[in-house]
Amino acid sequence: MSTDYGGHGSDEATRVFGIRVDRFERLHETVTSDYKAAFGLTVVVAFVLAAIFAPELAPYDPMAQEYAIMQSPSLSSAHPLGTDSFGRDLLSRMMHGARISLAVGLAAVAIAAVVGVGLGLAAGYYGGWIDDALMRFVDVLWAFPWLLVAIMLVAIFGQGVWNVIAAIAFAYIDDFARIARSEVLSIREEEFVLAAKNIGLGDREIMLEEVLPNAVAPLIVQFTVLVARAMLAESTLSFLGIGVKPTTPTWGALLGQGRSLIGQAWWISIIPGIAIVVTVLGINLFGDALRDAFDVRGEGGTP
Amino acid sequence: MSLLDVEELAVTFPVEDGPDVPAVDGVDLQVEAGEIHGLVGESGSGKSVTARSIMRLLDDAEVSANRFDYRGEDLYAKSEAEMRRIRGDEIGMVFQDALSALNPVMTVGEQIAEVVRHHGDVDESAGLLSELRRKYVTGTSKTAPSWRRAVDLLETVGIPDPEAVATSYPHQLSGGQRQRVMIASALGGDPSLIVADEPTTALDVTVEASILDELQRLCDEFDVAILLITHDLGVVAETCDSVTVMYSGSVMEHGRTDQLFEHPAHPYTKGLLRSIPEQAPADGELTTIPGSAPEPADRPAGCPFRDRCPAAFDACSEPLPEHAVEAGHTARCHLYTEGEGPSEVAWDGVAGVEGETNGAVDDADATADRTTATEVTDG
Amino acid sequence: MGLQRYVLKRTLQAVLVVYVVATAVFVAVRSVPGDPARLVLGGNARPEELAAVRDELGLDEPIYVQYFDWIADLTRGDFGQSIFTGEAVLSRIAGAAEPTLSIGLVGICIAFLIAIPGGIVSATRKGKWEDYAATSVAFLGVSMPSFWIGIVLLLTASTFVPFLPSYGYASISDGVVTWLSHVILPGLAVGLPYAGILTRMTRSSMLEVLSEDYMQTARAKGLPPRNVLLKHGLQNALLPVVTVAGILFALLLGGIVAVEVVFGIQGFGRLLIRSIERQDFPIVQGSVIVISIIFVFMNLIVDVLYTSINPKIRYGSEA
Repeated sequence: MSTDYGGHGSDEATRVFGIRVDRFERLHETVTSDYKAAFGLTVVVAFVLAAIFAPELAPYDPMAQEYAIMQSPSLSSAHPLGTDSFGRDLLSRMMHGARISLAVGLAAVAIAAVVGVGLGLAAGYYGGWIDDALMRFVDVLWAFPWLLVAIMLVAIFGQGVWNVIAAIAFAYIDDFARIARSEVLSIREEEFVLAAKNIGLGDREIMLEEVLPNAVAPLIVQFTVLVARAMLAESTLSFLGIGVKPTTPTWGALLGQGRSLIGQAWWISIIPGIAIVVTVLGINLFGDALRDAFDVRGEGGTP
Repeated sequence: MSLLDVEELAVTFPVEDGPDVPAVDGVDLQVEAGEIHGLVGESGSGKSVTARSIMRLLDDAEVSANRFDYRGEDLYAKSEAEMRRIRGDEIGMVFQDALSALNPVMTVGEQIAEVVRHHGDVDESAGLLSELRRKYVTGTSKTAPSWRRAVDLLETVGIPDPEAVATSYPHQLSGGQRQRVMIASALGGDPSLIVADEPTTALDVTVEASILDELQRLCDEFDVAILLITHDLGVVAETCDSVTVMYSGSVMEHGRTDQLFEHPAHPYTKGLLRSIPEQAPADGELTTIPGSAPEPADRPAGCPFRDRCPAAFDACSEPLPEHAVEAGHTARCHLYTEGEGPSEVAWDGVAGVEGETNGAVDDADATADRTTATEVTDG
Repeated sequence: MGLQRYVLKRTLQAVLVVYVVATAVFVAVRSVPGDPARLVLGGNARPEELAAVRDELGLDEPIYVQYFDWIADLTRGDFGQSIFTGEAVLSRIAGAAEPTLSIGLVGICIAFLIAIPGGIVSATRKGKWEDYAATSVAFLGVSMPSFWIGIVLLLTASTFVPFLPSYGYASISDGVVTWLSHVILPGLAVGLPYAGILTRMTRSSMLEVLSEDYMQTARAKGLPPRNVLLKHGLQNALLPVVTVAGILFALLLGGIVAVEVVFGIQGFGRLLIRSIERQDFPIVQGSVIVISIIFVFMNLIVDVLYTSINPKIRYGSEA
């Protein structure tokens, strides 16, 4: 499980956020030569732009209902992607949905990352009983399917974005913890760490300034990949009606709403569905390109 | 006719984004039937690559040779299917690190038994389905002839309680036992030649001695030739009938062991002999050959040893000649070509190897008779 | 330690974890702001009902008594009653379990049937079109949510294989073929993403194994390539795959629940969703505990399986 990205902090390569500059060059190379990676990057960029600029770019208010043209088919002049059963423009809803999906994905994975990496660093660095206790805790975490947590939260607190974020974050903590821990274990005894200790740097400083930068590459790859998974998870929850509140237009929710109308208004379900697949695929492809460029050997392709 | 006759072997490994690596560059090797032949060299000399080329296990490399004959037949003209027949059956191989060379999820007995089955000496099916059934479903029956033979072989290689060991997994055995298992599995197909790639390097000295004894004994009893690859001249002195010395992809000297140790001709060989601890004069220092072996890409033209040789001179940039020192003993060195350079080599500060030896040369003599047999406890 | 002792130890651990989960549920319910009785009964309960439930739950009693009763009830199998049907939660769940288990089983089988051969071919033909094809399919599989695959299958299946029913479930007692025809599409929807991950895992594990020394030894013995691959390599390659397969069971659950909704199958997943919609809290709570029990024991089985096929762990070092 050790990663090898061309040496640790003791070499003289210049680094940006802990990643050697030449890795970025490799990334650039990969993206410009490999069409899969290029596709991935394009999708990611398009998605992020749509999400950020949704309010400006969307042709209609996602909540605006026009009874006159309920369920108009796609590719009509006014509504390129059609409208749903309340006359709301699908394209606009999807763009706003992108926002929420992205926000949920990022938030959930970010929280998982912070908590997970913290736990992993501590476990790896201190070792001993702290390691045992923390790892046992992490083990219990992965006995818990995230769906369960989501269900509990919804049952108690009702639907809502924060439940989704919490449930998903909960499920991914262990991924980050494991990676962080194994990175620490492999670097812990290296010279520059021992040197730092000798100078008298405190544990926290060492962890943050010496150890963490070296672990950045695999963590970033994992982050990307998990954002994709988070989006899938959120779409499933929303589809089932136990995710975000009903009016929120995340793609999963749109799909769920359109299910009963699949005969007459197939676009309401199919188009958001395609969007989900394409976006997740794009993120995964990009994540793979990152993994290659940063030379990270993952745990055998857990995407 | 030699059992194995290789002439001008060259092995090159293609490298992505870079020049090809000429691991072996013009090697001659002859192994006679029933003898133990040592192939000696430092790391990077190309000895392992040479060994693997015999079994045609080098898939990524370009191999070329004027002659690569086993029992008079060109190994490289054979099809892969014919080669599979030869592997294990005619030529067996023993690898250096038995722990990684043995399959961790199969019992030791099974690993030997399958060789026996595959080479058709017993009346058992060795087809894919039967093998899979044996592996995953039923296991090999303890009364099957291949199993019995496996147990016998374990006993032959000196493992006590072979029945129990046969049902063990590699990680449950000691290093010495594992190495013996490797030897047993190499013997399973009743080969005429065993290629042993540094079989004792990973073992400690007492265990090493017993394994080497074992190899000698097997060579005698089963009339199987052994190509023993090692970096340790002491091992050669103890065990081998004849020797080929390699350096950086080429042969420096070869001949019978007693000849080499008594009259080493090549400066490299002399330097090696000088650096054996037993060879050093009682009051002198341990000596080494200064410098280190060049990377294949950085080899100088002509003699690869040029840059470290105390006797190097202009002609050394020419391709290596062959010089017959005595019958059956050849050195490849320009020093011996008529009318060139000094005819004596003296390493600084230490008198020439001749006459100052102890131990090693006596061992070399003993090897020629192979009557001495020191009993060493099993490892 | 022997296999039996290991199994025993892990089983005890598993039971412990289940109780920890039950405790977590207990704590969660009690720490929600507001009245747990209201939670159980739903928002529209009348005061008398609330009082009755409060009494039954023992909410007026000291917390440790409540806890003790809770654990005792669970151990006896008393998970409470459904608000809507009054039926005992456990039996209600059990009644809905068969379809879910069927889909899960079919999904796992499909996944392994695709992933293992796919991963092996991919690894042995690395860089060639077989590798490319398998990896791409795996990638796609992983990027599609199960319910989406289900919807697509539904739509296309009605065109291409109209004899497959697109709705509902038939029990295996109605005939294996009928059962299979109902279960195959949902199983496929659930299994494909799982297959995607497993294929990549098998591929990379196999690639590692192929470069191991003992594979070269097997070749040096003159064994035919198929023997070398399947007899020497496969088991070693599968070891890490088994571990990952276990971890990923959690992935399956989300898929199964969604797929039941898509195909209109009255299974456990469906029950769960509807109970949440209707706020039938006892069922939700009971389901959570049942699911954790299932997961804990599935992990146990995977662990035991792994231990039994890995001789290094099973036999330890006796030298």
